[in-house]
Amino acid sequence: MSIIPNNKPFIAELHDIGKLVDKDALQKQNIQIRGHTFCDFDFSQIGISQPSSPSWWGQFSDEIKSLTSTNKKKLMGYYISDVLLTNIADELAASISRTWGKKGEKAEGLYVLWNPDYYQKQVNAGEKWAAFTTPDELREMFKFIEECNSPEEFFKRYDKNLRLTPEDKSAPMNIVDLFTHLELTGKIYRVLKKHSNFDQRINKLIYANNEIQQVNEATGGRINEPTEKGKWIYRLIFLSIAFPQSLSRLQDLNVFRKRADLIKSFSEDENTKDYVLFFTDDFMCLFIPKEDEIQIYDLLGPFLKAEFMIDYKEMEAELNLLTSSMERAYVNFHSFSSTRHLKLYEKNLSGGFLEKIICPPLCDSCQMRRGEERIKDQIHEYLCDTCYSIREMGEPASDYAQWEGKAAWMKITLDQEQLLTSLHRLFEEYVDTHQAMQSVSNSDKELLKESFRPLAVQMDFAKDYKLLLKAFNNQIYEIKDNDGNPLFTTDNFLYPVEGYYEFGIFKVYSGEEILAVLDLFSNLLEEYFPECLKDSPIKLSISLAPVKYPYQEHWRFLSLPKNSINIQSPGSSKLGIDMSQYKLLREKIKREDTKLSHFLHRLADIEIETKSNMMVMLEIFNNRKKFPVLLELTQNELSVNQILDFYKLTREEVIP
Amino acid sequence: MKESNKTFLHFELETQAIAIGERIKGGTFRPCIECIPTSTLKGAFRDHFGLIDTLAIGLFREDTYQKDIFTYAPFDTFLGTAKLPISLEYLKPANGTEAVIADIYTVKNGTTESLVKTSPVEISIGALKSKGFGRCNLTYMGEVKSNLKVGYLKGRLLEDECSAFGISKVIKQCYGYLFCPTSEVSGVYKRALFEGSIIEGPEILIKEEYKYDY
Repeated sequence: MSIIPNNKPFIAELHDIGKLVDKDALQKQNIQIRGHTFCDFDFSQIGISQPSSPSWWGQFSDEIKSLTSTNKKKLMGYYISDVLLTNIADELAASISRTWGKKGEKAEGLYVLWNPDYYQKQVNAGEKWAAFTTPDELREMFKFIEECNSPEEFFKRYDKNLRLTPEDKSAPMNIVDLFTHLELTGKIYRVLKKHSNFDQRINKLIYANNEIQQVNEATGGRINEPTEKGKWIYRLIFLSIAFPQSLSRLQDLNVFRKRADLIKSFSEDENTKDYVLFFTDDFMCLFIPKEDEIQIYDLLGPFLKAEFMIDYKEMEAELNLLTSSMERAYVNFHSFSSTRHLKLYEKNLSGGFLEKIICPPLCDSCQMRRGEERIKDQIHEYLCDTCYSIREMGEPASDYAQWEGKAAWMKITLDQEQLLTSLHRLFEEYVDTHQAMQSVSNSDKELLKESFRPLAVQMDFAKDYKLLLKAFNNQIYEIKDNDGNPLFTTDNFLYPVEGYYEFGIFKVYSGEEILAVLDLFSNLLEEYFPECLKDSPIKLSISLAPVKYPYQEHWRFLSLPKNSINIQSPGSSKLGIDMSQYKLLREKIKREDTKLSHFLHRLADIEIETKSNMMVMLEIFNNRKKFPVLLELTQNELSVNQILDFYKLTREEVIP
Repeated sequence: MKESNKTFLHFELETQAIAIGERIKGGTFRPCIECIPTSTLKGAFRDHFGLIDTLAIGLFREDTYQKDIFTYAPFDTFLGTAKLPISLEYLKPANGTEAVIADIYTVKNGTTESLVKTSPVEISIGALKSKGFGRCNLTYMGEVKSNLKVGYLKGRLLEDECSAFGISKVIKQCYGYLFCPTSEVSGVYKRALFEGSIIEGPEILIKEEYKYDY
């Protein structure tokens, strides 16, 4: 029997809508459902017929692994290729390859690796994972499959349920929410679809002259199956978008806006948005075909035309070998002396635009092109057209020019490399120690850890990171001083680039402002990423100096954060500590403790006069009964210099 | 592992304070870089020894220096007034070390061999020589044959000097520009490879090995 499909599009994301159904609740109402798909569902139970939209066929994606599948007759001819591509995309989007088998126990709700209490908190707040718990709601689901026009409509309508439901309810697969999993599946499906053709005459899908009929033919086997080659080669790319301009005038900050605008338009453009799996303000993760199919130089043309510098890591591999843990996979792959295809490159784009020889003058800002004389307010500068156009974009942070005294430049950064390390650590801890994993043998645990693909988890993390930035932006103006007045207003805490919440500048009168910013960051990190305090991939840097201090030097410090918290006051102190050290210092070093303050001053003087850490240590030891706190801090891996610097940078005195 | 076909003369350079300026015009802060580009050494060897087109590159040893800032007010002799104070970043010996040390490698040829005979010798490199910066002792250490390796470049050299330094492949370019005089009063900026470029070249130029495909 064939059904004439309605005129709606095929929406791959809908294939997992059944995961929002509470089967147990429906069973109690005498409705029998097997699994989370509805291909074999008895519709007479709820008195309706099966949907007629193309998206309905997505329900078959779990079982269709071949274009020659016997189930094909059930399907509407052409849509079998969509269903097969959905199957491939679904597998690639999974955080653990579904072919590895062994799982732990099933658990309700999502387990967020960096915030394990998240689900319970949401439940306590009245949220629920299930969207369909009654026969009426189930009918509504089928109606939605029938009538849905776009993935956006699906995500908008079931947003909250999708964010609380895991991609797979069994530990340790329950770490990615269905929203992210389906977002990723949908993007991968559309990229695969865009770059392949379904030839109905020969019943084959063709990408880059490689024909396939089975899923495995396209994807290949697991990494430890060195002969199971896959025919379809794709690329996963991590790219960072930098700029050569030195920030010598406030107008140079417009370069951030220019970059943010480009990333936004690239990730929203109908032709390119599905290539962008996720992005932050200076980073994008792309999934694209190999170079023969799409040239990266052309794809990223808008960025190159705007003279940005693009550094990227590119993994080019058979689909099943692609993972965001690129270096780990590369080492692992080469340990099997495999003949399969997996390449890892470090590349950059920008060189093509640069002249071999430039006759003076060189552009004062980017130093990459010839400058032309520009005169503004009797200041002569040599700027190229690109840098000049950035200057002409507007006057960001114009209030800053009127400030006097000291100001702090602040940047929050998500370190992508550190993030991967942290995610692997968190996942391994989860597999090794969580109660739901107790029934799994040690060897299976090792296999699960080996098969972890953190891409979707990274996407989830980046979303929470953006929530943290937004919360920081909202809460910074709610901090009160001792008199109950707002400590920061939009006049003394500036976000120079609208919507770019990683970067702010604030006026500093005393250590109170610095501590307020540090406390807010620390509290938010604890709220959103409590399990990442030890090795936080989210870092805060503050550069404190007189307002005339060169912007470029602030930026140089802000853009290379080493620790979770980094603070410098050029010519005075430089501090790098992790979150636990910060909490310890915050707890033990009380700014109002005048005796301790005097003693720390004395230590600072001793340090300056003798330039000897030993002398300072000796003084601490001699005064251990009077100031046990200092000895305790030094015993907790904090150096004397770190304690002194923390004190100097956050002290109560008004900074002139 | 293949050996580079180049032979280098290795010199050790010692100084108490040196400022090789990052080329930032305007503003009152002059940051310094942490290597000695080929163009700087070419100029220094020409001024001190009359050598034309010496091929040499300088790499500061990481544990021997720290950065500090020197502030001074330049004097405008024409107007007879002081200009805005300038803060100059420079390298000074790290705590516990006696001098900033750099390794200088010159490509061995007839011209550079004459340098060996003058060693040890005092030369001046970098900015603010009138204030005592950049006075260096240059001491010949010996000949070096270096293995070829693929990795991240740790100095700055002109793109057209690559083959003379034994760089057989440039895998990833981090470009910048170095000034090259064409006469006493003029010059041009030439495209150069900066730190972070990935090359196949003599091990002495490599900061860290690159382990992936190219």
